[in-house]
Amino acid sequence: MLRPRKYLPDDVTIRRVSRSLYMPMDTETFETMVRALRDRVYSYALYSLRTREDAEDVTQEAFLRLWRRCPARDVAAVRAWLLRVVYNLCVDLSRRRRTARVRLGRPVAVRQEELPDTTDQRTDPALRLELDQQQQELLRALATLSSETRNVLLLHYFEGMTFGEIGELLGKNVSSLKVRVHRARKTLRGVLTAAVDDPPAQRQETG
Amino acid sequence: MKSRCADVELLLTEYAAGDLPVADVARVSGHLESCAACRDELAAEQRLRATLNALPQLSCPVEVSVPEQVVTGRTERGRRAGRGEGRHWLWGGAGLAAAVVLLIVLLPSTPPPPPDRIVDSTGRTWSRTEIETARLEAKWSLALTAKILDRTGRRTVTDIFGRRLPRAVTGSLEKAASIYEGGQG
Repeated sequence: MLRPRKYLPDDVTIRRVSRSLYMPMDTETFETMVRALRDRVYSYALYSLRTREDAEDVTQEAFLRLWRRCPARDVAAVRAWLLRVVYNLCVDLSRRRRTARVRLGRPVAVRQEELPDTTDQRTDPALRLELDQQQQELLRALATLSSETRNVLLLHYFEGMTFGEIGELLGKNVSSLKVRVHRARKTLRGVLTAAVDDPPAQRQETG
Repeated sequence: MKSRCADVELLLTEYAAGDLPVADVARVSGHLESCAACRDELAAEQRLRATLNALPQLSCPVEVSVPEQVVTGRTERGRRAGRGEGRHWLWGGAGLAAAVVLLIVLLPSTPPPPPDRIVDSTGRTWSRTEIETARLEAKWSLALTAKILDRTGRRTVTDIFGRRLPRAVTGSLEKAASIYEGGQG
């Protein structure tokens, strides 16, 4: 016998799910969306993940999901839907990368000062060419934040979304988002201040 | 009464963005006039905003050609993983058949229209509401199973039967809702 559920969807929800599962977007509409949103999605993913290869993968995957699920027909609604998908993809990928690094561990015989600057190595050289010094420093500082916080900052500052819109998009409490951004700003100030004093080889990223 | 710095600092992001309600703007402005530390914090917020806002929109170097990928049933990541296409659809079909059998076994029958009450083989009496609820659960489970099977396009059969399918079929409806919204898919 099935267990009782906390929440049961109504018939309308079921029809929406079924329609979204089986009715892909028509090619013309899809190409319009790609032209309008591809560069934006790619840029967001690149600033979040900082490697071109990962950003390309995320962009491809996001549009693949768009093609399959067809949540809306107008660009604004599709943009919001895509941002949520890209947020989830970027956070998941960052977590997997971080877990992989933790599992690999670090040779204990090597002194911290002798380790290469992994921050600079992870940032795509092509991306470094596109940005000025201040932007590069800030992206390196962003990498010290958790992937969720980094992506919330990008949604607010880069995509120009209000906290209310981000809360609605991600299903998060607006007050907690404000606290998160406030703490992140303080962390970034500390990291950027330390970056002025410390040599790059001593900095490590965590995102 | 003077606003506390901690309260004002939480509002500085929206203050700098111009998203704050008028009443709060007056309160924050009043506090900033008399608090150097919060003015310093606001300057840091404005620098962060200006720097991230000025990040350029870069041109995507690859062509996004999703329809072709859907036709071939493979993504870039899938190609890197080197999974076999023919084998993948074979296992997908096997997964579909297994899921249908599983649903037939697990789900209650849903003949229309529902009677007022049913007494099952154990002697338990089911009301009309309970019957309709069971039908709704059956419909939802089918929709969810269809979605899961769609995901098998990028999974191996070991993933499906080893971990994903049993947990997913019996998983929560909240998870199903988030799959639809693009959250977990």
